[in-house]
Amino acid sequence: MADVGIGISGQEGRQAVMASDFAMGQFRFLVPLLLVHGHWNYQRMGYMILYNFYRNAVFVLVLFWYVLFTGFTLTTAITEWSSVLYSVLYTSVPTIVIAILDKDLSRRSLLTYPQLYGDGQRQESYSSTLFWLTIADTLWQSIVVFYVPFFAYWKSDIDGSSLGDLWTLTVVFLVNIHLAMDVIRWTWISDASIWGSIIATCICVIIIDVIPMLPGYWAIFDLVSKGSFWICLLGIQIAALFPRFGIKMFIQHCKPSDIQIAREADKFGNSMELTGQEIEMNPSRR
Amino acid sequence: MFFGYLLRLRRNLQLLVIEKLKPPADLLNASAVQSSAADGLVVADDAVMNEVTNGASKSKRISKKPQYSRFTQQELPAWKPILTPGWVITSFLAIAFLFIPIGLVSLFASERVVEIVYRYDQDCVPEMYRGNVTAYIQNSLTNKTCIENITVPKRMDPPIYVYYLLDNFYQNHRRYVKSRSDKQLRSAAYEFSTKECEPEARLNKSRVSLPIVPCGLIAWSLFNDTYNLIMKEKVLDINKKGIAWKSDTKVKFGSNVYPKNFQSNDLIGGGKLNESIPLSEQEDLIVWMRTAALPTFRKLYGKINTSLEAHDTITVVLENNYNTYSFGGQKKLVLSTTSWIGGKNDFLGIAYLTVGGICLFMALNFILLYVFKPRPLGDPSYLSWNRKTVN
Repeated sequence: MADVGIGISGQEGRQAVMASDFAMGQFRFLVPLLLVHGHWNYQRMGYMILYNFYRNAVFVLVLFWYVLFTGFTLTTAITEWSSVLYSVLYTSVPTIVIAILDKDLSRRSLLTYPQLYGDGQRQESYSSTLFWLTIADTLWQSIVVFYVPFFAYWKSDIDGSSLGDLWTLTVVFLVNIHLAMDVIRWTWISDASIWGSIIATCICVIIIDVIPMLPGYWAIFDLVSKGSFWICLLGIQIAALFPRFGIKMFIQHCKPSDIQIAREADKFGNSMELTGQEIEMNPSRR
Repeated sequence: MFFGYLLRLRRNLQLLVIEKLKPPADLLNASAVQSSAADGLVVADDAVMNEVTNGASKSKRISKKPQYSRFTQQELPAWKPILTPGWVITSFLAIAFLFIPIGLVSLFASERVVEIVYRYDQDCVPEMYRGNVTAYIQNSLTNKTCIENITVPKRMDPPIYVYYLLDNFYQNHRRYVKSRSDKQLRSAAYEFSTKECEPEARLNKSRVSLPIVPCGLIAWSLFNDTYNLIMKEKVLDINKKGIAWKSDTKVKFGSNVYPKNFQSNDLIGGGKLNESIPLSEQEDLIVWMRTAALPTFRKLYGKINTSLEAHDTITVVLENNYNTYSFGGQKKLVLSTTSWIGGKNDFLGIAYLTVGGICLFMALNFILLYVFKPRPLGDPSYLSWNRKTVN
């Protein structure tokens, strides 16, 4: 299952190093590489793949649902500038920051209890089941994001640009709050990137709507003066996320993974003394 | 001398070996840094080699270890929240207690709105033309005036908004939405920039191509039914000023742009415009050109500033000019009051109540779950390798 080459550089020369993906000087460095960095990377990569599918699919599915109501003529629900900036500015920075910095367990726990590495071997962060569940969740969230404003503004006098702004803001808020629900370790950088992206989105939408050349001129200001806009914005976040939240908490309680128990033990101080079974590897001293 | 040198060399080597064998904290850090950078260790190796070959025991070792920083070692102070049962139940209850009142308030606001919706496009076609409605509507000689009565169900307080509601009219059609020239609308200097407006861009008359102002299909299909409301023998004054967005009248539509060659081609799509009024004052056109987002929409026609009592009868004298018959569209006249939530729409109220109710239900379920199937937090007997031995 592993596809990484690790070379040890030393007395016998550097040939292995030149042919490998990772190089180190001593065999004992394999232990942290595998148990600590390998575990962190697996968990981050698995989560990030699922999150990226979700983030892009939610946006595109909103556009898809809109097409059904434009006579199938592919009018974009969201203004072109916002569509471009979605992937570039509105949602990319938190993705990158969390993908680099998030750690699910401390180095100490991972080195002391090597069985936690089994999480990767059992494919608990990314598997076919998790993928399809993510897609189902994405479908539900896109339905909420599209249809709540749709029914709220059906038969009203809202124009295309205002409704597009509502969808833009809602999708960006939703995607970032979804990520915030899954961040395990909050540093100041995570805070800055997630909430900063949301603020940057609001600023960009306002700037786009202040340019007279674009068709949606002043749409955002007309939109925020409606009470229904704020009600929609709040309602959509909660309605889209509460199924995911509920299911996650239910599984966390009834079928907790090893990582979950280790995190709780770390935080609430229970000593994780093993009962009975012996482990083959000696825990590394730290 | 030489022997002393060898002894010192041997002692240095021994010290180095001992230091390399025991893993103090910072060396493990260093090794982690080096293992993540491919050439880090090679550099460190060279540093050690330099030390040995120099032979002198320096009091300060040259170290190529990178600067320690909390960021590069991923040791930034962090908050690691774990959602305990208490937090889960609290959040679901908080959502329920927030959403149910908001839902009730929204529903109440929507119920307070009084709305009269009157569909007139079927009734306003005279009997003899009902077989061929399209021909009737497109013929400019037929009589389009229609008189109908509507009753006010409940008392309506001013301002009362008069809308026209169109159904099955796709103002969000892609080609339609693009068929306009914002440059031309803003200033008279850009009269000739009509590229996006085809086919309603130029008037071709006797080998001269004149620009149509305002060009494009959106302006060409301007809605042109008119309504006059009479109550108790008095005409209700419908204020048609101030119905368009202020930003549109000030910025998007220029005050030096006048309609020119409008609706002069063979196919007439909608209303005509008064050529002596600049575009910034043509509020019906401005309202129409804010293309609607959805296929069923309404647009503001005017405002009434007198109140209407319950069971009043209003006589509507309308001109049924606009052709929605050839594509199966519907036209309706709407009189409506407003509230902070907009027009009459129960959806948001009901949606909030539903979500609040479901969250309350889930909070109760979670309470039962935590009471009947508790799991102590961090209990190592739930670990997968311990559960196997327990079983």
